[in-house]
Amino acid sequence: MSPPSEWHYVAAAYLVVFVAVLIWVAIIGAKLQRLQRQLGELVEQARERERNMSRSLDGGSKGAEAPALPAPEREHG
Amino acid sequence: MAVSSALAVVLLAASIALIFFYAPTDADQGFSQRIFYFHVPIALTAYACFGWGAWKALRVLWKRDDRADLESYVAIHQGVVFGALTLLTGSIWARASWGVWWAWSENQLVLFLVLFLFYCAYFMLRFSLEPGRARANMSAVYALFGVVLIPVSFLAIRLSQKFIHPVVFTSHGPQMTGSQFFTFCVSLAAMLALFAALYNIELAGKRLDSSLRELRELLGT
Repeated sequence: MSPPSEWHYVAAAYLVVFVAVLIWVAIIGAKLQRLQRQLGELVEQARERERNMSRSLDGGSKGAEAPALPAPEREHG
Repeated sequence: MAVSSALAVVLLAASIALIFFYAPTDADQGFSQRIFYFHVPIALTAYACFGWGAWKALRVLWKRDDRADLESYVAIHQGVVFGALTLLTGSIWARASWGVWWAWSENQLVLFLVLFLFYCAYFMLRFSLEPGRARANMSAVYALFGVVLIPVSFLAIRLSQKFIHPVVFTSHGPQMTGSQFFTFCVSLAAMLALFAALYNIELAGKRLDSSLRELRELLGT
Protein backbone atom coordinates (compact mmCIF):
# COMPACT_ATOMS: atom_id res chain seq x y z
CA MET A 1 0.00 0.00 0.00
CA SER A 2 1.48 3.37 -1.02
CA PRO A 3 1.89 6.08 1.63
CA PRO A 4 -0.79 8.78 1.69
CA SER A 5 -0.09 11.70 -0.62
CA GLU A 6 -0.24 15.39 0.34
CA TRP A 7 -3.71 15.49 -1.16
CA HIS A 8 -4.90 12.86 1.33
CA TYR A 9 -3.61 14.86 4.29
CA VAL A 10 -5.30 18.05 3.07
CA ALA A 11 -8.58 16.15 2.54
CA ALA A 12 -8.28 14.61 6.02
CA ALA A 13 -7.72 18.02 7.67
CA TYR A 14 -10.76 19.57 5.97
CA LEU A 15 -12.84 16.46 6.65
CA VAL A 16 -12.05 16.69 10.38
CA VAL A 17 -13.42 20.25 10.48
CA PHE A 18 -16.48 19.31 8.41
CA VAL A 19 -17.26 16.28 10.61
CA ALA A 20 -16.81 18.35 13.79
CA VAL A 21 -19.30 20.96 12.56
CA LEU A 22 -21.67 18.17 11.48
CA ILE A 23 -21.50 16.50 14.93
CA TRP A 24 -22.11 19.89 16.57
CA VAL A 25 -25.17 20.49 14.38
CA ALA A 26 -26.47 16.99 15.23
CA ILE A 27 -26.02 17.61 18.98
CA ILE A 28 -27.79 20.98 18.80
CA GLY A 29 -30.52 19.45 16.64
CA ALA A 30 -31.10 16.70 19.23
CA LYS A 31 -31.12 19.28 22.02
CA LEU A 32 -33.68 21.45 20.19
CA GLN A 33 -35.88 18.40 19.68
CA ARG A 34 -35.69 17.65 23.41
CA LEU A 35 -36.53 21.25 24.30
CA GLN A 36 -39.43 21.25 21.85
CA ARG A 37 -40.81 18.05 23.41
CA GLN A 38 -40.42 19.42 26.94
CA LEU A 39 -42.11 22.67 25.94
CA GLY A 40 -45.01 20.70 24.47
CA GLU A 41 -45.36 18.72 27.70
CA LEU A 42 -45.34 21.89 29.79
CA VAL A 43 -47.95 23.55 27.57
CA GLU A 44 -50.10 20.44 27.92
CA GLN A 45 -49.68 20.48 31.71
CA ALA A 46 -50.57 24.18 31.86
CA ARG A 47 -53.71 23.55 29.79
CA GLU A 48 -54.66 20.61 31.98
CA ARG A 49 -54.21 22.76 35.07
CA GLU A 50 -56.35 25.52 33.55
CA ARG A 51 -59.08 23.01 32.65
CA ASN A 52 -59.05 21.60 36.23
CA MET A 53 -59.26 25.06 37.71
CA SER A 54 -62.18 26.15 35.53
CA ARG A 55 -63.92 22.81 36.25
CA SER A 56 -63.54 23.27 40.00
CA LEU A 57 -64.80 26.85 39.71
CA ASP A 58 -67.81 25.68 37.68
CA GLY A 59 -68.45 22.97 40.28
CA GLY A 60 -69.26 25.61 42.92
CA SER A 61 -66.02 25.50 44.85
CA LYS A 62 -65.53 29.22 44.47
CA GLY A 63 -63.64 29.49 47.76
CA ALA A 64 -60.98 27.07 46.61
CA GLU A 65 -57.75 28.73 45.62
CA ALA A 66 -55.07 27.54 43.26
CA PRO A 67 -51.98 26.13 45.00
CA ALA A 68 -49.23 28.66 45.61
CA LEU A 69 -46.48 28.51 43.02
CA PRO A 70 -42.95 27.87 44.29
CA ALA A 71 -40.33 30.57 43.74
CA PRO A 72 -38.15 29.69 40.74
CA GLU A 73 -34.44 29.04 41.04
CA ARG A 74 -32.41 29.91 38.00
CA GLU A 75 -29.65 27.50 37.01
CA HIS A 76 -27.02 27.99 34.38
CA GLY A 77 -24.56 25.91 32.46
CA MET B 1 -28.50 34.50 14.97
CA ALA B 2 -29.84 33.96 11.43
CA VAL B 3 -27.52 36.68 10.07
CA SER B 4 -24.39 35.21 11.69
CA SER B 5 -25.34 31.70 10.53
CA ALA B 6 -25.95 32.84 6.94
CA LEU B 7 -22.71 34.86 6.98
CA ALA B 8 -20.78 31.84 8.27
CA VAL B 9 -22.14 29.59 5.49
CA VAL B 10 -21.39 32.15 2.75
CA LEU B 11 -17.90 32.92 4.05
CA LEU B 12 -17.03 29.23 4.54
CA ALA B 13 -18.12 28.43 0.99
CA ALA B 14 -16.13 31.41 -0.32
CA SER B 15 -13.02 30.44 1.66
CA ILE B 16 -13.10 26.82 0.42
CA ALA B 17 -13.49 28.06 -3.16
CA LEU B 18 -10.57 30.47 -2.70
CA ILE B 19 -8.36 27.86 -1.01
CA PHE B 20 -8.72 25.27 -3.76
CA PHE B 21 -9.28 27.39 -6.89
CA TYR B 22 -7.61 30.76 -6.25
CA ALA B 23 -4.69 30.52 -3.84
CA PRO B 24 -1.45 29.38 -5.53
CA THR B 25 0.34 26.22 -4.41
CA ASP B 26 3.16 27.11 -2.04
CA ALA B 27 6.60 26.67 -3.65
CA ASP B 28 8.19 25.46 -0.41
CA GLN B 29 5.54 23.23 1.22
CA GLY B 30 3.51 22.23 -1.79
CA PHE B 31 -0.16 21.24 -1.72
CA SER B 32 -0.21 20.46 2.03
CA GLN B 33 0.26 24.19 2.76
CA ARG B 34 -3.47 24.56 2.00
CA ILE B 35 -4.16 23.21 5.51
CA PHE B 36 -2.74 26.55 6.73
CA TYR B 37 -5.87 28.40 5.53
CA PHE B 38 -8.05 26.50 8.01
CA HIS B 39 -5.53 25.58 10.71
CA VAL B 40 -4.32 29.12 11.54
CA PRO B 41 -7.77 30.82 11.42
CA ILE B 42 -9.15 28.04 13.67
CA ALA B 43 -6.29 28.62 16.15
CA LEU B 44 -6.84 32.40 16.09
CA THR B 45 -10.58 31.84 16.57
CA ALA B 46 -9.85 29.64 19.59
CA TYR B 47 -7.83 32.52 21.06
CA ALA B 48 -10.72 34.88 20.28
CA CYS B 49 -13.16 32.51 22.04
CA PHE B 50 -10.99 32.36 25.16
CA GLY B 51 -10.52 36.13 25.04
CA TRP B 52 -14.28 36.69 24.73
CA GLY B 53 -14.87 34.23 27.58
CA ALA B 54 -12.37 36.14 29.73
CA TRP B 55 -14.05 39.46 28.92
CA LYS B 56 -17.41 38.04 30.00
CA ALA B 57 -15.73 36.58 33.11
CA LEU B 58 -14.42 40.04 33.93
CA ARG B 59 -17.98 41.37 33.67
CA VAL B 60 -19.14 38.68 36.10
CA LEU B 61 -16.61 39.86 38.70
CA TRP B 62 -16.73 43.56 37.95
CA LYS B 63 -20.37 44.31 37.10
CA ARG B 64 -21.96 41.32 38.89
CA ASP B 65 -23.60 40.52 35.55
CA ASP B 66 -25.38 37.14 35.96
CA ARG B 67 -25.98 36.72 32.23
CA ALA B 68 -22.23 37.05 31.56
CA ASP B 69 -21.52 33.83 33.49
CA LEU B 70 -23.39 31.73 30.93
CA GLU B 71 -21.89 33.77 28.07
CA SER B 72 -18.37 33.18 29.42
CA TYR B 73 -19.05 29.44 29.76
CA VAL B 74 -20.38 29.16 26.19
CA ALA B 75 -17.42 31.13 24.75
CA ILE B 76 -14.92 28.87 26.56
CA HIS B 77 -16.84 25.79 25.42
CA GLN B 78 -16.54 27.01 21.83
CA GLY B 79 -12.87 27.79 22.42
CA VAL B 80 -12.20 24.22 23.51
CA VAL B 81 -13.95 22.90 20.37
CA PHE B 82 -11.85 25.20 18.15
CA GLY B 83 -8.77 24.30 20.20
CA ALA B 84 -9.34 20.58 19.60
CA LEU B 85 -9.71 21.29 15.87
CA THR B 86 -6.46 23.30 15.92
CA LEU B 87 -4.61 20.36 17.45
CA LEU B 88 -6.15 17.87 15.02
CA THR B 89 -5.57 19.89 11.84
CA GLY B 90 -2.09 20.90 13.07
CA SER B 91 -1.19 17.29 13.72
CA ILE B 92 -2.27 16.27 10.22
CA TRP B 93 -0.30 19.16 8.71
CA ALA B 94 2.76 18.23 10.81
CA ARG B 95 2.57 14.66 9.53
CA ALA B 96 2.33 15.90 5.92
CA SER B 97 5.13 18.48 6.25
CA TRP B 98 7.52 17.16 8.90
CA GLY B 99 6.71 13.45 8.82
CA VAL B 100 5.66 13.35 12.50
CA TRP B 101 2.25 13.73 14.16
CA TRP B 102 3.63 15.73 17.09
CA ALA B 103 6.93 17.38 18.11
CA TRP B 104 7.41 17.80 21.87
CA SER B 105 10.45 20.02 21.23
CA GLU B 106 8.21 22.71 19.72
CA ASN B 107 7.24 25.39 22.26
CA GLN B 108 4.33 26.57 20.12
CA LEU B 109 2.70 23.13 20.05
CA VAL B 110 3.29 22.31 23.70
CA LEU B 111 2.06 25.71 24.90
CA PHE B 112 -1.09 25.41 22.82
CA LEU B 113 -1.66 21.95 24.31
CA VAL B 114 -1.17 23.40 27.82
CA LEU B 115 -3.67 26.17 27.01
CA PHE B 116 -6.15 23.61 25.67
CA LEU B 117 -5.81 21.33 28.72
CA PHE B 118 -6.09 24.34 31.05
CA TYR B 119 -9.46 25.23 29.52
CA CYS B 120 -10.56 21.56 29.56
CA ALA B 121 -10.03 21.66 33.33
CA TYR B 122 -12.37 24.70 33.47
CA PHE B 123 -15.29 22.33 32.94
CA MET B 124 -14.14 20.04 35.75
CA LEU B 125 -14.07 23.03 38.10
CA ARG B 126 -17.43 24.38 36.92
CA PHE B 127 -19.32 21.11 37.14
CA SER B 128 -17.86 20.20 40.53
CA LEU B 129 -19.59 23.22 42.10
CA GLU B 130 -23.24 23.93 42.86
CA PRO B 131 -24.83 26.53 40.56
CA GLY B 132 -24.82 30.00 42.08
CA ARG B 133 -22.73 33.06 42.77
CA ALA B 134 -19.73 31.08 44.13
CA ARG B 135 -19.53 28.95 41.00
CA ALA B 136 -19.83 32.01 38.75
CA ASN B 137 -17.02 33.79 40.64
CA MET B 138 -14.65 30.81 40.67
CA SER B 139 -15.27 30.05 36.99
CA ALA B 140 -14.67 33.71 36.14
CA VAL B 141 -11.36 33.84 38.04
CA TYR B 142 -10.21 30.62 36.32
CA ALA B 143 -11.16 31.99 32.88
CA LEU B 144 -9.19 35.17 33.57
CA PHE B 145 -6.10 33.19 34.61
CA GLY B 146 -6.30 31.20 31.39
CA VAL B 147 -6.30 34.25 29.16
CA VAL B 148 -2.76 35.08 30.37
CA LEU B 149 -1.55 31.97 28.53
CA ILE B 150 -2.81 33.30 25.17
CA PRO B 151 -0.06 35.90 24.53
CA VAL B 152 2.54 33.41 25.82
CA SER B 153 1.27 30.78 23.39
CA PHE B 154 1.06 33.31 20.55
CA LEU B 155 4.57 34.64 21.10
CA ALA B 156 6.16 31.29 21.96
CA ILE B 157 7.28 30.66 18.43
CA ARG B 158 9.02 34.03 18.31
CA LEU B 159 10.68 33.47 21.67
CA SER B 160 11.95 30.05 20.65
CA GLN B 161 15.56 29.81 19.42
CA LYS B 162 15.16 26.57 17.52
CA PHE B 163 11.98 25.72 15.69
CA ILE B 164 10.54 23.96 12.70
CA HIS B 165 7.06 25.50 13.03
CA PRO B 166 6.80 28.09 10.23
CA VAL B 167 6.58 31.82 11.06
CA VAL B 168 4.21 33.56 8.66
CA PHE B 169 3.50 36.84 10.44
CA THR B 170 6.77 38.61 11.27
CA SER B 171 7.65 42.23 12.09
CA HIS B 172 7.97 42.73 8.31
CA GLY B 173 4.32 41.75 7.75
CA PRO B 174 2.77 38.54 6.39
CA GLN B 175 5.30 36.34 4.55
CA MET B 176 2.96 35.34 1.72
CA THR B 177 1.67 36.59 -1.60
CA GLY B 178 -1.30 38.92 -1.95
CA SER B 179 -3.65 36.15 -3.11
CA GLN B 180 -2.55 33.90 -0.24
CA PHE B 181 -3.09 36.69 2.27
CA PHE B 182 -6.52 37.50 0.84
CA THR B 183 -7.53 33.82 1.07
CA PHE B 184 -6.25 33.70 4.64
CA CYS B 185 -8.27 36.82 5.58
CA VAL B 186 -11.49 35.35 4.10
CA SER B 187 -10.86 32.07 5.97
CA LEU B 188 -10.29 33.96 9.21
CA ALA B 189 -13.51 35.93 8.70
CA ALA B 190 -15.32 32.63 7.96
CA MET B 191 -14.05 31.03 11.19
CA LEU B 192 -14.96 34.08 13.27
CA ALA B 193 -18.43 34.10 11.68
CA LEU B 194 -18.73 30.37 12.41
CA PHE B 195 -17.82 31.05 16.05
CA ALA B 196 -20.41 33.87 16.23
CA ALA B 197 -23.10 31.58 14.78
CA LEU B 198 -22.27 28.60 17.03
CA TYR B 199 -21.99 30.89 20.07
CA ASN B 200 -25.38 32.50 19.44
CA ILE B 201 -27.10 29.15 18.79
CA GLU B 202 -25.61 27.46 21.86
CA LEU B 203 -26.40 30.47 24.05
CA ALA B 204 -29.99 30.58 22.81
CA GLY B 205 -30.34 26.83 23.51
CA LYS B 206 -28.95 27.21 27.04
CA ARG B 207 -31.23 30.17 27.79
CA LEU B 208 -34.24 28.27 26.43
CA ASP B 209 -33.30 25.31 28.61
CA SER B 210 -33.05 27.59 31.64
CA SER B 211 -36.44 29.21 30.89
CA LEU B 212 -38.05 25.78 30.54
CA ARG B 213 -36.58 24.69 33.87
CA GLU B 214 -37.98 27.84 35.47
CA LEU B 215 -41.38 27.23 33.87
CA ARG B 216 -41.36 23.64 35.12
CA GLU B 217 -40.66 24.86 38.65
CA LEU B 218 -43.46 27.42 38.36
CA LEU B 219 -45.87 24.71 37.27
CA GLY B 220 -44.62 22.56 40.14
CA THR B 221 -43.75 19.52 38.03
